Amino acid sequence: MDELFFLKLKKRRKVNRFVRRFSFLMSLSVFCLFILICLMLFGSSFSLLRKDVFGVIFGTEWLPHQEKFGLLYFIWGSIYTTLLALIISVPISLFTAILISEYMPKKLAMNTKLIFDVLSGVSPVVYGFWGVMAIVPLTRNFIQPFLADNLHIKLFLSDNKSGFSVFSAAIVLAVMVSPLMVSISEEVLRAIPFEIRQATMSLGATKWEMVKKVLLKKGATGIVAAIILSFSRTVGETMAVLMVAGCQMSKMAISAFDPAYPLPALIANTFGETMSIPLYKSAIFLAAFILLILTLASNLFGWSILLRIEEEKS
Amino acid sequence: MISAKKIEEKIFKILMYISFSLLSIALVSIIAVVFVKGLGALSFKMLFSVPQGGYYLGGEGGILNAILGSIAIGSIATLLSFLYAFCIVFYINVYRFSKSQFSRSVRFFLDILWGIPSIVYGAFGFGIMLIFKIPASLLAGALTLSFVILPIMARTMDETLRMIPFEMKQAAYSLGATRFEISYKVIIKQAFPGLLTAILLAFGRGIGDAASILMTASYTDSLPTSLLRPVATLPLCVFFQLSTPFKEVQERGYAAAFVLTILMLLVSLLARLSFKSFSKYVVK
Amino acid sequence: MGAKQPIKIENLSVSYGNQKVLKSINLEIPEKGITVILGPSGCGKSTLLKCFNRIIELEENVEVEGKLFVDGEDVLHPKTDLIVLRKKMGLLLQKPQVLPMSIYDNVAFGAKIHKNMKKKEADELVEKELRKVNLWDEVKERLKSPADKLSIGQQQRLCLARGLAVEPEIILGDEPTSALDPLSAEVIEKQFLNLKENYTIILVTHMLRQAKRLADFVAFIYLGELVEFNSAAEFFSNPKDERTKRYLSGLIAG
Repeated sequence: MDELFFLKLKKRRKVNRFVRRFSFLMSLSVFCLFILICLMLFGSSFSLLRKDVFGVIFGTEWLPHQEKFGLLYFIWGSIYTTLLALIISVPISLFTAILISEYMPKKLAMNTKLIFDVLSGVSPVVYGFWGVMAIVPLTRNFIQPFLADNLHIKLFLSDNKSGFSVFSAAIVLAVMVSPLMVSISEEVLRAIPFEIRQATMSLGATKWEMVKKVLLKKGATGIVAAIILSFSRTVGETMAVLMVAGCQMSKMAISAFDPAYPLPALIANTFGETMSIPLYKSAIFLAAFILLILTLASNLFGWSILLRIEEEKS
Repeated sequence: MISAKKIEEKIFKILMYISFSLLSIALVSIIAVVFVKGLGALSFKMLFSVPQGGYYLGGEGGILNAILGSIAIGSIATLLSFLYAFCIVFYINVYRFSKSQFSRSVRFFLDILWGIPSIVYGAFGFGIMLIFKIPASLLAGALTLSFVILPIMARTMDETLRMIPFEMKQAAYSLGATRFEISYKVIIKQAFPGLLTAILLAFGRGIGDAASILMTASYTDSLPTSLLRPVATLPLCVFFQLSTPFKEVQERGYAAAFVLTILMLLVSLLARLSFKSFSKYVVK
Repeated sequence: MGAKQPIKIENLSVSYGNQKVLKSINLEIPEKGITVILGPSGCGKSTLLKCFNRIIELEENVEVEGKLFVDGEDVLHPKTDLIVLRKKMGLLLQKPQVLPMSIYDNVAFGAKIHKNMKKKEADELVEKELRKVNLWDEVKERLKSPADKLSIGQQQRLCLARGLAVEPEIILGDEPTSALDPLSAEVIEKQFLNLKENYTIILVTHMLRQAKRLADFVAFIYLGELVEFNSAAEFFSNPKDERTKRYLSGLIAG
């Protein structure tokens, strides 16, 4: 170990120390980024919040030029489309997950999951495109007339005959979120130990009975987590909804065939007009903040359930 | 008794097959619609020219601006988020124990960031731009987009780094290497295929995202030539052209959807291939 | 290198979480020659070895107490320069672990990070070290091919060459032959016998016969305690402790 060695060692140390400090700051900035996002959105919407919190969140009038920023119909639009999407998606995803995890040969199951995975990576705009091209006409020409003619309930009666509606948006969202829900539920079911299945099967039960009595009961909490996480994913979806939900601010959507105007679509559609009116800007940032809180809360809730399941196992 | 059980199983099995078929048909029909509509609208001129005058009323022109714009903004965002994620991931796996409290909290916050909708990132980026009076531009869009794809990039890289054999680190440390030398001379080489997968996954997500760049990168009819000017992108091309009433203009939306889908499928498939030719030195 | 002091271990204890793996070890390892640390599996001998170059710190929840002197300096002191320390010691692991690079780069890696080298210097070094471990003739045609493609036995010799290229004074071996076929194991053992003239070699093994073949000194560790330390001749012909006797006669499993 000569002088050259120590000379180089000094340099190596310096580089290492620099990289360590720099990457430590970068890692720390992940926390900062999150906090910055929260602060920025909250701060920007503060002037409106300070003025009238309840009037904004529970207000129904959206007249920006008269400084009336009721967000309730938009929040309702988000919740309505998301819930309808989940109602469509949950049974389909659950049955598909059971089929894949319990009835399919392993290799086929793997390939199916891979294909789902690849297709779910397609751009949201392409889902919206598909919605406009396929689902909206299908709704307009077949589903809406059929349901309206045969079932005279408020849910299916609407003046809006365009097909751009809560229903179309829900279908597109359901298809978008299903691969996620299938993949989480499938993992939950697969994680249930072999011994438990075997014990039931050896009592002479059919496979379906085993699924019904053992797997669904054992996996129930995990499936609930899957639904909550899917809710979070769906409620923030923007482009696809913007393209098919109609997005007209006429009235509160009651029928599934009414147009809806969910929060993300509101943000995307109006940011350009907001520049001139300060409170308008605040309203849009408030919409983003509400969205952030909604997704954050549901994600944390979903993860905590999954975490508890994992802890119980070990 | 037994036959009732059997009938019940039959019914539910049929329900499963129906569900599976519905979902498969829906997913496949997305690709089918994009192909049928898109192939019809595709032409040499569509792919290789930019919008001319009177474009939105049915004038001449193609979507080259959006194709190149998407690739530009996707690449820049991927590069930025790669550099960012790189520091984070090496720090939490090499400079700290992978399972340390600090590393786990970083992962947790990355997951939280993953869960934030891209429109919220868009609003965040837009808000920052308003404060500092920055106009919508390729750079602003790429920065915002890089935050959107940061979690997917970092978490994929993180998984790869955690797979590095412990003995390999031991061997490298026992030769007297610093943590930095181990990172960039040993771990990078071993993790290379995984890092490439992360880059491709993030790029695929990046070129498909529209909500975050709608406000920050805006849209333009010209080619991406400057970081400080607005940029056209494929998803927004689909969105804007589809909302016009003119058939000729809508065709461009079809073509853009087609190109976008092909690009994303290609990237997605590439990401899932094992990179044999790149993993020559990887120790199995 | 000048006159060296022996390696001295004072009251060394190691625990993983609540579990004590080594209980206040006191030991003096003579300079040069082969000292074998012998004991059944899981007795803590690998842990002891990993304390020498503080590789043990790469694991989580480990607590090391006591003193370990190499060249008169306490290795376990927080201010110890780990790079200088590790450069002084070459480590061979149980399973040969080549680095994800070519055969050539594997050998040159350690040397190159410590010293700026011209290509010719590096070439010479690689050849010299590979010759030392009898690998040169087998790989000289494919120095640029991945090290991973070599057989397990060749890989372990490559690892030895890699360690030697850093010019260590001490070689640490953690059961370095246990994953190898008998022929490769023999080659490695021969290298150790050749190297012991110039290096202090500390070898961990649970194979009694290997210890007999190689050892100049033997330290017997059982359940985290140092039971007996002696010259090999004395240790095998005239064991003092009851436990050593039982181990040597095969009454202790492992």
